[in-house]
Amino acid sequence: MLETLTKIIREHTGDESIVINEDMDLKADLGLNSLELVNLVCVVEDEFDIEIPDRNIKDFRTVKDVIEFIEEQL
Amino acid sequence: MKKGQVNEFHRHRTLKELLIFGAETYPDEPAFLYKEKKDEVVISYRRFKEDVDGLGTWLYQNGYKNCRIAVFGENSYQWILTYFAAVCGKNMIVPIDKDISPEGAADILTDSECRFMIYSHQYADIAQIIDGMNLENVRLCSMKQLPELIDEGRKLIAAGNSEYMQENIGEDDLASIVYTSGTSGKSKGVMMSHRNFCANTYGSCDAVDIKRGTALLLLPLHHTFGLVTNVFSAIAYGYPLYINRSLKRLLPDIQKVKPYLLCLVPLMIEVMHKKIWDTARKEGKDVTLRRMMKISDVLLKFGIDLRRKFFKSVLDAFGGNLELIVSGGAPIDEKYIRDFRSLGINVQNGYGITECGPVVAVTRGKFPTIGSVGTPLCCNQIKISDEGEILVSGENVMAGYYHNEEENKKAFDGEWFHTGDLGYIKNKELYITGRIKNLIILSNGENLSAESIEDKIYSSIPYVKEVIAYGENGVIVAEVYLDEEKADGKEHIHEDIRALNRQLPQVKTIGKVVIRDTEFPKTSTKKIKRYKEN
Repeated sequence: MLETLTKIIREHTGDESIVINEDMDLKADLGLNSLELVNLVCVVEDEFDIEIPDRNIKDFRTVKDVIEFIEEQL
Repeated sequence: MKKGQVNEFHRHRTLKELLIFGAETYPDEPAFLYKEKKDEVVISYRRFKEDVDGLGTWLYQNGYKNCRIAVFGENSYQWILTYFAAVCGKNMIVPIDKDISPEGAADILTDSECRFMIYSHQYADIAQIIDGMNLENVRLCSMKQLPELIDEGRKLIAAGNSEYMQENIGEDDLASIVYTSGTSGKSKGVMMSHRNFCANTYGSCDAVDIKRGTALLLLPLHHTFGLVTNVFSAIAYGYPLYINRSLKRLLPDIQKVKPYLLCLVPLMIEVMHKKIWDTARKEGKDVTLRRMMKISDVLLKFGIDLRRKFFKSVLDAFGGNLELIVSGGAPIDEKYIRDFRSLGINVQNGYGITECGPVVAVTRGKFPTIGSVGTPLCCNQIKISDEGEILVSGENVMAGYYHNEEENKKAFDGEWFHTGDLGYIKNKELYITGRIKNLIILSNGENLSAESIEDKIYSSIPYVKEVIAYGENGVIVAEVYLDEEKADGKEHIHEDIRALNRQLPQVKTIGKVVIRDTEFPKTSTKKIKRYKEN
């Protein structure tokens, strides 16, 4: 899961060298603003064939939060 | 008269007049379009008024008259319907930010003395928490129940109950209390009359070249920018308004609706810009695109406009019809205005504040002065105080802050409203240079009190000696000066900010930390200087 998410985030940020860990803060460490986070969620939805409601996006703080949500949906 | 022409014909005194105008002038034309599950729903202007009358009559019949009604949820037809049902009777609407905490929503309900709140089912969990707080005299109702209430209201109308429909609304009657960030962190209720909104709608339409087409609502409705420039303007000109239900569908909905005009906050414009350059890079066309933009710019100087031919594939990604973007809610980086202009999309940059309806000024024409926020709308005048503050007077300026005499005294100098923003006027155009108020304005238009974030940092990280919070590239930056006696502060600060972020609502989370080696420069009263001196 972390590997797939790393691939998505690398593509999204254009930073191929970025090393992702679960504790990373989506804003503070990855520098994502609110709309970039929404865009990232769109890619995650397509990749895992799940739907992430807008309400849940607001609760994502760390990479771990995203992973846990995806795992619950799968 | 052709649709889209600005005319006194479109100048209304009240929002009720606007509603009736839409229903009588364009009865069978689509007013609102949206997707519900897999169905595309179309609501005509006539049906919209019938729904408003039905819900409004139900409210009157159930004792909701001369009171405040809150609306809480994501953008939807039901949200707009609730809004109009309240304001077309003798009620005031109180829009509540869907991202607010249950406590924050409860504060607003209490402060505004709301008696009824209509909430979206998506936020039923928040509504349940609010319900559990046992607020005095507040009834909550899900938007899912609206069809039932409208039906009951229609039956009452059919039986001869016309009290709501015949209610006489005056232009100085209050329509809404809009809560906006105060500098101390406590929200202030901005009282807006029908006159305020109608003047601003007319002024906005007068300033922006509107053509026939479907408008696309992307801005959150609890902010007056989206409400005035999208909803009220669409009704005034008989346009269909497509309601985007999720920002995840920002680009797909733009492609689907093929709008001529979009009203956006800078963050959305940045996303569109990123999309253009990401696509160009992926296709290996970024260098060619940049070169073509330069050639196009040179040709434009000689009056040759080939932009829509040169950049057809780029423009097609946004539906192919997009010619105009109105940017507001936050300052926009000039590079976006330049790039979109080169590509054939004119960005009109505006300035506004909730207390003024909200639009105060906007750039005009195809080649506006970059850096300026344009000339004042026809509904207001601007002047600059001796201290450099922007003052506004006009029909769009609010009636005052709701039961807050202290703030009202500070905000008004006769008819002139103190915006708290600093600027200057050159060649009749307004330029913004800074703010007196310590508000962080993120590029998504979100206004946050800098002090409320700084206080959180001071109280949870004791070795932070000084901190200033500000917005940068859509994220909140905390610039800190650490206590030198705490030797390992620099090692722990990022971790401690991360821990603090987990306790904060996402909108207030700190995205970047800057560590200073020296104390902040101070004013003569030993306060930190927030702005660099020019």
